[in-house]
Amino acid sequence: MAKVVERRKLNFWEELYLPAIVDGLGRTFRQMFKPEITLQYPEQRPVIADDYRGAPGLVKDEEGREKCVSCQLCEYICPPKAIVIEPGEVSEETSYDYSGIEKAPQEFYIDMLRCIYCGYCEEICPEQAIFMTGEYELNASTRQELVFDKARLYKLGGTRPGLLKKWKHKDDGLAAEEH
Amino acid sequence: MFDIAASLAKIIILTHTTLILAMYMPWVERKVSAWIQDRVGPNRVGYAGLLQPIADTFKFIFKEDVVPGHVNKTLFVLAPCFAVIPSLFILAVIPFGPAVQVMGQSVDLVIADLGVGILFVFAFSGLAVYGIVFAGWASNSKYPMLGGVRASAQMISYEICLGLSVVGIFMGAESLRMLDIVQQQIDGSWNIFTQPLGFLIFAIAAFAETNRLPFDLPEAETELVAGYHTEYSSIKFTMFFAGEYAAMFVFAALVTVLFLGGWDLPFMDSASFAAMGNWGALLGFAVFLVKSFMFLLLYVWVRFTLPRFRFDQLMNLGWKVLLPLALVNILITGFLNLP
Amino acid sequence: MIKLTIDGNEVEVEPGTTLLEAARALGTEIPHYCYHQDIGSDGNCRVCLVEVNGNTDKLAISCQQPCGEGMDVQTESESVVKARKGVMEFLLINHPLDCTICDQAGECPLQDYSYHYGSGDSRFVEDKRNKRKKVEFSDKVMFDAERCILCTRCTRYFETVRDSRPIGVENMGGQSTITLGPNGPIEDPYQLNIVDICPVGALTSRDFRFKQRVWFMDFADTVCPGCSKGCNITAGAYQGKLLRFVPRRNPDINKSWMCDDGRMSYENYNISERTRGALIAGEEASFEDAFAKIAELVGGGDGVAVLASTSNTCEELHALKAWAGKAGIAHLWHGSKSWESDDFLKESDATPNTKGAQMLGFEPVPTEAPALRGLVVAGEVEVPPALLANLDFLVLQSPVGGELAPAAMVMLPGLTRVEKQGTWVNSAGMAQVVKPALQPGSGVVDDWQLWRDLGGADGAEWSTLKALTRVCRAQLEGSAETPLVATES
Repeated sequence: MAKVVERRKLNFWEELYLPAIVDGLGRTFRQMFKPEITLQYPEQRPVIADDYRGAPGLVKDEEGREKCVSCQLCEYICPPKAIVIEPGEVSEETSYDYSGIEKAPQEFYIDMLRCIYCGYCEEICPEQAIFMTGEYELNASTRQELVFDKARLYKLGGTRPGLLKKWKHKDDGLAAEEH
Repeated sequence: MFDIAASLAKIIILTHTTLILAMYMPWVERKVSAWIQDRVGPNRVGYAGLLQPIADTFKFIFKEDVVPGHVNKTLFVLAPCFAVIPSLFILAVIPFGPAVQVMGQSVDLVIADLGVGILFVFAFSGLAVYGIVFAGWASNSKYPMLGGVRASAQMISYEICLGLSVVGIFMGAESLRMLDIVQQQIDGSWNIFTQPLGFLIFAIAAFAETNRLPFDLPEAETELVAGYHTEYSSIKFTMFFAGEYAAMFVFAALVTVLFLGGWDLPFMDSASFAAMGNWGALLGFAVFLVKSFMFLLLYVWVRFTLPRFRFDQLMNLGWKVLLPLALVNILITGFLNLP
Repeated sequence: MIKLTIDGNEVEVEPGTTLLEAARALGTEIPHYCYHQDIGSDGNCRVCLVEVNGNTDKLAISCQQPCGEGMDVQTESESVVKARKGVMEFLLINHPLDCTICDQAGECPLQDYSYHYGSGDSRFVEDKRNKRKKVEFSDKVMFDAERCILCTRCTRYFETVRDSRPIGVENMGGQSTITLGPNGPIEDPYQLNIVDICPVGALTSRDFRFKQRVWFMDFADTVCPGCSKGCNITAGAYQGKLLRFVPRRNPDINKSWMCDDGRMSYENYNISERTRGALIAGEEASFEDAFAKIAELVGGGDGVAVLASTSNTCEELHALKAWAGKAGIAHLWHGSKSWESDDFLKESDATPNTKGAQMLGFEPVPTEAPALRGLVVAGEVEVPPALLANLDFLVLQSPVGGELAPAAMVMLPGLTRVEKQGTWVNSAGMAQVVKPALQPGSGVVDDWQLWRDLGGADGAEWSTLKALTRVCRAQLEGSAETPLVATES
């Protein structure tokens, strides 16, 4: 059942439209003298909120250790399949005191052209190893350049102090057991 | 010999003024729209973006000139020319300043001082529609076609109002000659005051004739992609673009001459201009340009204030409102001018 | 026969059947860790508790409790659910929950049962027990003591199936752990089976370790191509590369086991370079030209022999035979490879379809081979050097040319064993369905289509592989000594 909307009958001046047009012109005229709100982008930068979802990056803890253990959950959850991980064993050189971690990514690729910045990877990560950074300027002259490898992702993510350290905890426990 | 030289000089001055204005009007438009929308507008190329039009021109020229395979080639190439040329022709009959004294001779600042000046204007402004209709037809594609059809209906309808709205002025000036009309306003009062209704109708019709918002239905980005020039690129597109701004200037100049007293300033008459000699002529030309420019600003201001009309609203306004009003205006003028 | 009801459904079983097996026969799944179909149960995990005759004070472990006449068994009663939840919580208090780095994740009964029967919460606030994490049981198996839930499936596997004790449980109570025996690393050639039966990630294959998450892999239920035993396997591949073979239970052939050599044979099928398209004298050619050339070379077929690898499926051999018959080739021979056999599963014939080839009329290469003008080799096979002498031409159809390639006049592409689809007949005469685990990619035609097109065969039976399989099966059944067994899926 269609609902009939009663419209108010316009009076003479409203029917002329001219007063409304003049009013509109007046508004736009006044607007001309209001200050601009434009951000002069390359020189001025917007304020990036802490929870901004920019390019995802891998982080290290304050002791410079890789957080990622290549469990590949981010690869699994990633809706556009932007993440590809080559898992592997922690190599002797990068092996830490943390005896529990046996696994580390040999390579970690994120195709930033595929990434939709949904943040699922950060959300699902059980190791607090991947975070959405504030980086939003991603450009390159070839597609390949925007497939970030492990080194670049660690550069992007940097160091984050104060993260969960479940392997460290484990390590301390093992040391206590041996005594 | 002297006449030819004088005419050439006048042609060069006026066409260049027009074309430079046509080039800088987009900049003005972008700036004013930016202010209205709390933005900055072009500010990267040159001081305050003043070199932007030049950069744009170069860009347009060096873009690939695409001629789609499905077009009628002859008309497709001719259409942009038709869009520019009529406006430039109209310039010929527009007086743009008081007479100058050169080598002891008095030269009127009008390229062709025709006795039927205003009729010449209407004759050529009527041709402007061909550019758009040709473009729409020759493109052989649906959106340009719709744009072209809309343009023909719109421009022909509003031409009638345009013509009728100035009849009152002839009745007052008792002449069709542009110089006479200006002279009559210098001697008496500006036609905008004696013919306010005529001015209103002329201004509205001028918006429609130049396809400017709120009457830009032939282009109508939101509906027709880019309307009649959808298929055009590079220099051909530039010509449509320049043609639109040239037409805007021509109509601004017409408004100046017909309603705003040409180069007249309050508290100055022909004698005071003559007393200043050629400086008077220069002052007159400047006044003429300033008045035209004010009307050009009105175009921009209106464009960023009013939304686009629907096509049926456009036709209603033209035929059912403006046309009767113009006729009434003639009647009133006739009664008022009864001896 | 004994009659009892499980969850209200009546079932009739042989005396001695356990409740768990009886429930399984009904299609009711009772969770279990220590029980395994092929090694029995130990009764130590306590997760298979059921309520018998309404006795909620003392629940029975269904893996050891034999069925009794008129028993009323409840598998989902309130007390059972509560007890199971408790058992799951106990199992998890010292489990490290390091699923993030655990290869078992995704195919882990501990994960599955925790989701289905566990509480999702732990009341355990103390520190978890720490044990050794990287213990090398051998060069094939790695052990993680923390993840182990001490179900002792692995030790019992060696005791019951392999009759040896390389590993055992040491210490007591909370300190118990699986440990290597005094003889050092496990040397059993069937040791990787303990990785499969381990219900958690305590035992991992060092070969497959950390290679890929199982949920990213593609699996094909097929038959081990390693030998003529025909063990049922699941082949796991990731992005066109085989990563592992694991046994698939078939009680008539391999139970739940397979040999380590067969398991590791997957590596042979990850070939990087192979024959794509046809080659005539080393030059690329179209299949039409190659077929014309072969027809020209074979001529009337006298003095020409076909030597087929017994890794070909019956369908492929059938198509090959049809072409050979048309071309007038009288000698149909099969060649196979051999390796060391043992007394458990491994057979000396290292090809999967020798029996099938014989049933279809292919004969072993005679010791006194007749003089040959030409030889057509189908598939990867060791050609006796005597055959190659004095040949006018050699036609080679194989995924990789190998040593024969330079001598081949015409070369045709072929499928590797893991790309084949069709029927293999194992040494016991059981026909089994083979499914492709990998796709060959461009320039490679299915072998049976190749022989069909070469012979110009057409008709309904040649239109699809399915139709051809039907024809083939009928032939096999005519000559089979033992009944055909279709693969369990």
